Amino acid sequence: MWVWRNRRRQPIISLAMAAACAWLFADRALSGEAVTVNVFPNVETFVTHHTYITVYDCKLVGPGSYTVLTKPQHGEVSTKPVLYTDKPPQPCVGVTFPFATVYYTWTDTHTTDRQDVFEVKWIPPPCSPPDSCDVQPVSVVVTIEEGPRIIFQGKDITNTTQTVALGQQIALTTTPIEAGQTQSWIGDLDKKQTVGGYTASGNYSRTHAKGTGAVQDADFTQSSTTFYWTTLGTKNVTYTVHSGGQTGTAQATFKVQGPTCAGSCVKVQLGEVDIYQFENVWWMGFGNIDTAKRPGITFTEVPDVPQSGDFVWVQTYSEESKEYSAHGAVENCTSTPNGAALDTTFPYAVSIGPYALPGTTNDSPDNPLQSDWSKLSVTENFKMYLMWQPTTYRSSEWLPLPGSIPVPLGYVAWTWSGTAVNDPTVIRVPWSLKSSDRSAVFHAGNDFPLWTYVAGTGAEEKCH
Amino acid sequence: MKNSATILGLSLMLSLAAASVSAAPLVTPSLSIAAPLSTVKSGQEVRVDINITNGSNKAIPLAAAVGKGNAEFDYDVKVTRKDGRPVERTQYGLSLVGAGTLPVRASKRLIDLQPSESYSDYVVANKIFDMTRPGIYLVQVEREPVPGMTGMAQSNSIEVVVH
Repeated sequence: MWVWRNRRRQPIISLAMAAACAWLFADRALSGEAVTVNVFPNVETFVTHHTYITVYDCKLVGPGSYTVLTKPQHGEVSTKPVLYTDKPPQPCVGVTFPFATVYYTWTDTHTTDRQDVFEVKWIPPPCSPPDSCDVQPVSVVVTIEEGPRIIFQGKDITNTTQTVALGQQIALTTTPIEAGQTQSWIGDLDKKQTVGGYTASGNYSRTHAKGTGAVQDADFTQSSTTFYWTTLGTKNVTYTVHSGGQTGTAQATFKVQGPTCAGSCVKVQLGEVDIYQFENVWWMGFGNIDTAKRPGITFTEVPDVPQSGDFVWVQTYSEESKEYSAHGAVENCTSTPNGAALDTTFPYAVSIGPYALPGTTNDSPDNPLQSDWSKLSVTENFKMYLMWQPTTYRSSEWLPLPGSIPVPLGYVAWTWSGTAVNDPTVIRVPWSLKSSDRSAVFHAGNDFPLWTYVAGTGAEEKCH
Repeated sequence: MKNSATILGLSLMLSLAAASVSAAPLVTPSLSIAAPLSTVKSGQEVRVDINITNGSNKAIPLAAAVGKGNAEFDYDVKVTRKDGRPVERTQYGLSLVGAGTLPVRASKRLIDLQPSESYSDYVVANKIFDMTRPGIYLVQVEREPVPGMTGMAQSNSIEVVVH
């Protein structure tokens, strides 16, 4: 609801001006008229709002405030200032203004009444002339509705569409809740689209090597549920409750937004397997960043991002084989005896939002070559996951959206192998590269990186 | 005439070399270390924090071991007794210098250390050296020159008491 003031500060009651501005008052709570509101028990419901702006220059005069003239019998009225961007009319659409607002919550759970009434009056900010902004009290008739309702972030979202972020925590509750009821949630909630949670930790050192990456399932059999969407798009959720021989349903729609990729989400640049000397030690590695600044593999994220978020890189690895020859004997080793491990630390790297593009990271795995070896053959397999977590701006910085999790956009499966041979009769460069290979392929999808233990940089390997 | 041409060519090469040096001056970052616990019990972790700072006005590309606590892949760690006696390396420490028996692995990342920016990591000194005997040990770390950097970066020396 709007009070309009023209450039010459004339009262708004002139007929011509009233006709011209009639649309400004096209809210349901016209001054002096009755307002009908349907509510659900214990759900705060919006009733009406009001502010005072000059539309020719979109300037705020003041939001004013509401006073309750007649209190309701079965609920509570709250009046508070709320900022709206989408409520102001043309030409001020998109401009944020404070509004005085009225909310009602039906709190009486013992009454058999189905209706409640109360009356409020908007008290305008100082006007010129003083009576130019006077409005009549508003009578509000409240009707309580039947059936279950879905509540999200304290609001009744039944039969509405909400825009949420990929990885945002979706904590849904319902009302009413009656003893003995049974319920279920169905819709776009299967495991290909949702998880109940994701926990990830890990840091490797010789004395402290612990951490896990695990996905939790969501419980869709209770009256409330918490989960995360891991795919984009429009999602429907239906809540069905059985109680006292009756069945009720409530439905809500979510539009899940997040990064999209045209083709691959990650651009990969491959280096070469190399043998080099650094700090008097010979090394065989994929790339050489110690002396030549040439990474083995470089990853760059390339999705389109509709909203702020961090890109989180996570790497797991499994060693296919490592074989070395010393004094005529051949030893086979592995540092990942139990399958895939987290590579050293979670996360591997983070590109901090907002709109953190283009972010990049790289890896150059290498192995010191022991002087009494005659040969070393290495094959290592890695998966570098690109994950995305929504962020919000608070306390002067961009931080992960509270309760959110990183969600995978895909991973690069990459491998490198090399065989180095030692000829101690060659004085200056005893080691040479006999063979090598490397490859990388991006796999789109929402497979989470999982691990049960951490290994990686500095890990000694078990040989047999 | 032939000699003059040779001298002219040589002086031209020297000029070009001088020009290329002045266009991309090499820098040495400063290196400092500190021990959170300067007195430890035998067998207790001897952690040494390393801080490298780029005091130049050019970014320095640096190799950095993935994660924290594995900086022995980036720095040459030196440990001696205070009286100068050498300290033996562990099997792991020997493997780092190519004199061990077991393979170890590392994942390293290339990072750009921006002007006035610092990068911190740490090593566990007794993972690399046998520091089980009580006494006073001296710890110092070095970083070998790499492209974009000139001269050995050498840290301060710190004392660690093991009892």
